[in-house]
Amino acid sequence: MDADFLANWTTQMRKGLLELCVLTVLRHRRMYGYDLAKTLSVVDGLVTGEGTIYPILSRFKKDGLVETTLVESAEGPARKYYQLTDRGRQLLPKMRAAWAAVRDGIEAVSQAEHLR
Amino acid sequence: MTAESTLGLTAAAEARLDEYLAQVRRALLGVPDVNSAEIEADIREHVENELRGAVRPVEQLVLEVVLRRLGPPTQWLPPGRVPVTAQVGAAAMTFGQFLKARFRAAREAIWRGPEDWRLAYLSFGVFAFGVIAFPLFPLCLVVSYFLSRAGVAVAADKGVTLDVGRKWLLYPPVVLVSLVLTLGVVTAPIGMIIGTVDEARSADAFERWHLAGEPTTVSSWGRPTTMRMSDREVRAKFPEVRTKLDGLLAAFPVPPALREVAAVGFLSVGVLSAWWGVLGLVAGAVPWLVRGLFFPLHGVFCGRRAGWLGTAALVLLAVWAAAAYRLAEAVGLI
Repeated sequence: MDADFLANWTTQMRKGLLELCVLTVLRHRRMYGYDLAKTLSVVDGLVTGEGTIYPILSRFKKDGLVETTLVESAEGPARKYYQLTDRGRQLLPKMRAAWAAVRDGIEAVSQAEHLR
Repeated sequence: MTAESTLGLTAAAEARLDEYLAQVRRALLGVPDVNSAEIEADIREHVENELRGAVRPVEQLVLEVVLRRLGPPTQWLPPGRVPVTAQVGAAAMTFGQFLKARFRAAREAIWRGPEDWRLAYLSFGVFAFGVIAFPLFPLCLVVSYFLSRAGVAVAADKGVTLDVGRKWLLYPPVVLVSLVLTLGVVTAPIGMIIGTVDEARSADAFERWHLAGEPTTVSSWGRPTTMRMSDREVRAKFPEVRTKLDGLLAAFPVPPALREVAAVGFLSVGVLSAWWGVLGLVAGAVPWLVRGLFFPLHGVFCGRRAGWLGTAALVLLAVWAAAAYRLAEAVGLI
């Protein structure tokens, strides 16, 4: 029971943070979906499955946070590159600020409990 | 079925990938804020990239490692989302809900792609519109045919093996047009034979009428008219008249009642061998033309076999031509 709860909670938490990480990685450059998946999958504890980022990218695209460009590839078919839109670019600092506030808040609560 | 897929997978691995993608589609069915077709295309690209350096054909075990790293499809939903199948239960999912989800997926694919899915839905949409607005069907069929061909070509270019759903979207116009083309190829010589027989009969009737002294019909009051006498009447009243065709038919070594059938059969052999001879040699010389015309239904068309068929038909034509020459000579036509 506890294990199920923990797994579910971890999954939900991870997915929210993964969205932030996807936008952060795309902050300075456009990226091929596969490279993005590989980049994030090497971060411990962040990605359970490399494919997790594709629905996120699809939703971001629909929400207008990212856009795609097809770029010819010498290795095969044209590749789809993801990049931030102006909307995504404007939203990212706000998301990071919100995350920093949550992180600091959790830290503050933990330290207060530790000192008690 | 070939052992390898377009991704270079074994048949078992290909089936496993299809099953995985079907699970993805089921998991994402009814989730409005993602484009399941686009995600599926992304997964295929991902798998393709992962297997780039793998030994071909790729075994299922190798693919399993890639799929495990991708993660189970059920984890792919956005945070807080529960798949439709889980909400209502797969068995309890109503037909209306299913249609609604499919409609949403179609709308998404048309607006946002990827291109192979966009073309598949567009093609089916135009085809279905043609069926509903029937007078426009020929035009819609042509448009949907080219959209389908483009969809199949894009999928092939991306290395995507078409699943059953996409085949149902893309294939109706392709199958219909290919069927019409095939019927055209098969019935064209039959049309030629019927036309030739008809022409020969008309010429024979005119010759018989002319040889009989160009008789006219007689009215019911016994007065002669200016109307030409019918062939049947000429045959009945002037049985002694012999035309060139009569002489030709008499040369066939069969009972008189079967001579016309034998002549038509003989003519059919000549026309068919000429038709298939030319067709076989052309198809053998430019097999890409046949593959292009009937793609993807005859993507494995073998030009060499067509060449053999053409050669055999031309040999038969040569034998036929020799027999026809001797026949014409025997009845004094040459």
